[in-house]
This record gives sequence, C-alpha cells and structure tokens, in this order.
Amino acid sequence: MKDEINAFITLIDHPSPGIPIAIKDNICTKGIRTTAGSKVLADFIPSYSATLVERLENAGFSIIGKTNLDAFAHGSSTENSDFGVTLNPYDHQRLPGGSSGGSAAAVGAGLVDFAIGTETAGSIRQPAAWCGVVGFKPTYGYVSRYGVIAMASSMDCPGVIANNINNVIKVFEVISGHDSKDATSLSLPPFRFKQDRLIDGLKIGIPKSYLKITAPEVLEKFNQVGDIFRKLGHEVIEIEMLDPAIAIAVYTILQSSEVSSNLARFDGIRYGQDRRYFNPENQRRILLGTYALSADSYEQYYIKALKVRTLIINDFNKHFKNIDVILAPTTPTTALPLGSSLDDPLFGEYADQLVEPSTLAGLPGITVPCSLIDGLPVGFQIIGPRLSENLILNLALQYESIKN
Amino acid sequence: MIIDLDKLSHLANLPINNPTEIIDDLNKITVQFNVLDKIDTDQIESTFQVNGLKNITRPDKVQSTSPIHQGFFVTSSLKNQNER
Repeated sequence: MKDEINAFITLIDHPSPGIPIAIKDNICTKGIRTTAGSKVLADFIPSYSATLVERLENAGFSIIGKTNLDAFAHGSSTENSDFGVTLNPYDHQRLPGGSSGGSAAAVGAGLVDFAIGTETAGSIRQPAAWCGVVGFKPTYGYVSRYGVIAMASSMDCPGVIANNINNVIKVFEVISGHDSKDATSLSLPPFRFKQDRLIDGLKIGIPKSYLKITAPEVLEKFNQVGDIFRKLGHEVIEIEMLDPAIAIAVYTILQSSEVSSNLARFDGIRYGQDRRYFNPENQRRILLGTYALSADSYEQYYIKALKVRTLIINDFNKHFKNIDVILAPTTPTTALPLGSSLDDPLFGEYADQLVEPSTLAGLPGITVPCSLIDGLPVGFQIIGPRLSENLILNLALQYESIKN
Repeated sequence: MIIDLDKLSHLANLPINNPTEIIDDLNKITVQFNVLDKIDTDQIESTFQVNGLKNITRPDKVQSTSPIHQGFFVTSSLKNQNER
C-alpha cells in the first residue's frame, strides 16, 4: 500500500488474513510498536493487546497498520505528531484534523474501509468531518479503554471511523460491551443494531449557540441537512443551550488535569524515553494540569470546572426531556491549511468546540458527511441521550439512504 | 495571574527549555477560564465520572514516618531479621 498522506506510523508488512482495519497508534497491539505519536514511546512494543483489538482479531479483522495522531492525542490537527503531519486526502495542503487524523485520512483516502479512533473531545468526529467520512463516538464506557494509552480518563472513548454507517455498525457491534479489565466499563452486552426504516416524527433540536460560531458557508450546507430531516417527517426546532465557550474552559481544565496525572507514569524507567522527549504541546498540557491541580488553584479551577460540568450535563438532560436528538454542524469550518495549529495553543479547543459539550457529558454522537465546499468536506452531527446509539445510527442511516 | 514556572516544572518533573514561550501560552490559555467566574456553582455537585461511579477517597491525614538519617528512611535491617 502507498501511504502518500502519512496516515500511518506503522504499516504491517504481512498482515494476517482477515478484514483489513487500521488502529490508532495510542491503542496497544501485542507485538506491534505503539507510539501514541510520541518520541517518548518511539520504540514501545506492548506485551498485550487492548480489549477492543482482541475482540476485532477474534471476529476476523486483521490489523494492517497503526495510524498517526497528535502525540498522546494532544491536538486536533496531527501537526503535534512527532512522526510528521498527516495530509488531508481531499487537499494535501490542508489538515486532516485530529487527534485521530491518521485514521480519518486513511478511510477518506480509501486506504481502508474501517479504522479505530479515540475521542476525548472531538478527536473522532472532527477529523472524520474534515476527511469526508463517518465518525462515531459511543456513550462513554460502552467500549473498553483497557489498553488505550490514557489521556483524560473520565472522557476517553474509543470509537469507529468508516466509509459508511453500516460499516460503523459492524465494527461497533464487535468492540462494544462490558470489559472487567476497565473499571469504568458499562455493564452492558455488546451492542446489537435494530434497524427501523420507518422512523419518523422525531423532535430534533438545533442549538442556536452552536450556529452562532459556525462559518456562514458551513451553515448554509447545514441548513440543507435540517430541511432533509423535515422532509423525512421530523420536527426540527431551534433550542437554547449553554454557550460552547463554557465547555471549552471546562474541558481545558479537566483534560489538562487528567493529562498531568496520566502522563506522570512516563518517566523513562517503565516506558520509553524520559520526560525531555515530550513535545511542546504535551509540555503545555502537563504544566497547565499541574497548575490546575496545585493547592493554590484546585478549588478555583479544578473543582469549579467539575461543578460546571454538572451544569453542562443538566443542560443536556433538560433538553432531552423535550427533544429526541440534537442536530448540529460538526465543525465551525472546513479543513484549515497546514500550519494553522502551530502558533495557537487554543487551536484544538476552537476546532472542537461543537463537540466538546457532548463529550463532557459522555454522550454518543455521530458525524456524517453532507456536502463539499470548494472541494472540502462538511459534516453534520447527531447527538443523542446516553445509550441512544440505536436511535442516532438509525437516523444517520435514514439520512445516508436519502443522500445516496 | 502569576504562574511560578520553576515550581510547576518541579511538581511536574518536567524540564523546561523555553520558559518565556510556555508562560505566554499558559497565560493565553488561562484567560479563557474567566468565563467560569460568572457561573454560580454554590449548590452544584462536582461530576468526576459521567457514568455514576463515585470516587472513594479518604481525607488527607498527617502521619508520622520512619525516622530519617542523612536523607534516608531508617528501617530495621532485613538481613539481621533473617539471621535471628
């Protein structure tokens, strides 16, 4: 296989027979180098596989490679990868998004039909939208985190990137379900999809505050999506939700705090190289988290953010009493040019601002490609209440069938 | 906001090569936290986990440690214990 877009950090020379799948390189694969996109782990070969990898292999999937990501999943561009940026398959001068940029670009370029990504706040849906593919982030805890190199444990969630919704479902059915090795795993059997072709009459809410920060050209395409759902017999209404800027602040504090704790284990003794090998973005997040957790700032920042997280969850719960799902653009813009993230320490937070609130609440969401603007893909997302996977996948399928 | 980078570097066990740049970046990031100041959270519980799990913790309690001699903890000799 020719990887002209640097989607892979490692390609397997002779993959075992099976259904080809790519795995994000922050997911442990026994005997296959797992770098997390960082020089800290440049030579790390795990002695065990993540639960989701074991399940995929047992179901007949074959790993063909490990995909590129921002080092330790810190970023939304793959420009923070220590193995070079991945190029957007639609335009090689553009970013693929991140942190699962390698997985999204590999699917977008047609190198593979399915890939596994992880999302802490947008890292599946944002790159999937920028690369013109489907990205699915399940309810937190539905897929085991065992063997996933931790970033922010209270939000980390593996999910699926694929070239269509049926392929997302196939993979999700395999990787989902309880795992006793993950203390935060939900006590649920593996997901089984029940198709409802006649689904109609749903009440769909569009948050006004999300539209205010969306570029006009993206908004125009998104409005066409709303019209399609109306024609399908659903009621589409605008709703008032909390300003995503609040979620950005909460996410930044909580994520960096958990990062500083999780990355303390990389001391050069047990794993890989020493801490001088962390790149500038990793360093910023570790220091910021250390600051937020220090005695002087703990109440002011960390505890405050945890409380506002409760308000964000309450906001979703309140709306889900009156509506079935939320519909929104996935990203405020289409893919940005290479280099866009390099001078802005808040690049990721703004690129992911339409997905961060739902991730903080642990909700499931799916992004579906809907259009092109100047040759670049645009995606919209459907967010549902906890464990509403069957509903949002059915709705996404309904849209996909109309578009096709 | 004053950030003591030397202290943070020590706490995080992280050597810093570009302190000016890091401080600038941290200041840019922390400015956005001000949006939280306006939100009343007096009667609001913290959410550590979204799936209902509760953290089980105990309050920090100061306890006496083994005596320290020249920077090392003093413990009884394992070798002598085995020989007894």
